[in-house]
Amino acid sequence: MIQPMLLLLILKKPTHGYELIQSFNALHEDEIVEPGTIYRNLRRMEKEGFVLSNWEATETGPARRNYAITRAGLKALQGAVLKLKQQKKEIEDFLTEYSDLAAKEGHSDEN
Amino acid sequence: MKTDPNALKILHAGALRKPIKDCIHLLWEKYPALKVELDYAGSRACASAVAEGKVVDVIALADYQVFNDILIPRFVDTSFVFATDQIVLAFDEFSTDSNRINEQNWMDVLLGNATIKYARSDHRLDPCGYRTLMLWQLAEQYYAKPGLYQALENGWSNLYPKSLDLAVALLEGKIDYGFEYMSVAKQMNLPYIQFPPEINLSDPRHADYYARARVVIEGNFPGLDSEIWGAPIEFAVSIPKNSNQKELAQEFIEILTGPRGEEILEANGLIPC
Repeated sequence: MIQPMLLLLILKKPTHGYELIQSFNALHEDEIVEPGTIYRNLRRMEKEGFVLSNWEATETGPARRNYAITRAGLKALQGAVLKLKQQKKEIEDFLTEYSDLAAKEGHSDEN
Repeated sequence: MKTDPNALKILHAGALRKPIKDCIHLLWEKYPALKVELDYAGSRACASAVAEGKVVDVIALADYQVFNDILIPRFVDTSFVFATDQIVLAFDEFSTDSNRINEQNWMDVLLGNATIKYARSDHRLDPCGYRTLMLWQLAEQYYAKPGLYQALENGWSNLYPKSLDLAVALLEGKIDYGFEYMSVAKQMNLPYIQFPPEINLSDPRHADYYARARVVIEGNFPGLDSEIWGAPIEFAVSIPKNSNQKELAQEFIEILTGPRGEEILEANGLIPC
């Protein structure tokens, strides 16, 4: 899920790794991802052509590598969304099947 | 020291010694006859040397804030962040109590045995030094141990000009423990204890918490003190305005920040970013 999440964040706003670490973990409070993992995934995605980086200087701070999504990255994100929708449907089907059976046999969902 | 006007002159933080040398080998693949002059010190000492007239083509430091404090805008236009790291407690297998120290009891071990020698680098010369002081301040809050910062500051045995000297002192058995960059500990094959991300200065998520720590760097004259606030560790590189070899310097920086440089940084325990 790390790469689709990063692609989504970069699609919303092209930015640098430092800020992505902050926004990624703000969305994923339960699952803390280490900065090194995020930087490594950004580099991997750049090698795969999903993102493109450029040095961007700020007024007061240093220049950092700024990431923007590419056409291939957008396609990869759409592919990940389709896969997630499929997984979501499979989970929903499973839960419905279980609930129906539990109701028929008198089990509660909590037990 | 007499310098060769055609040589590429690189001045860098001691902690970057090995990755910088490895990147020069990549530059030599293209320019086998190129003469390179390497010099290193604590990052603040490096920046002060450039501000006092030292001519170099590349300057790579352990903290971009040092560029902002000492070199920008007069000597350098901007700096480029290329790697991150974290502070760890490095030791040696022969260090006193190394068999019982761990992530929870490190402060009790360091302060509980008067024969243990632990060290930090000099905050006036080296970012690892002021980052250690910041880590101690944050540890006092994080572990809710009032007085911990002052106790640690009162108890160190040795002060070194740069973080690399700490690692050498550990290898030579001059000290038992040193507050060090994880990358340097890894490069020297030293065992180390990691601190929680809330205090190890590695994680932008905790930038606001790190900013609670503050270190004053004493100036040479009254009123010239500078104040440094805690922040995630970021190494940065630049080409000084008075470089005589700007194109070569740019090529070197492209290697350092490019895919092969990233592999070198990673192999040396840094996190390229």
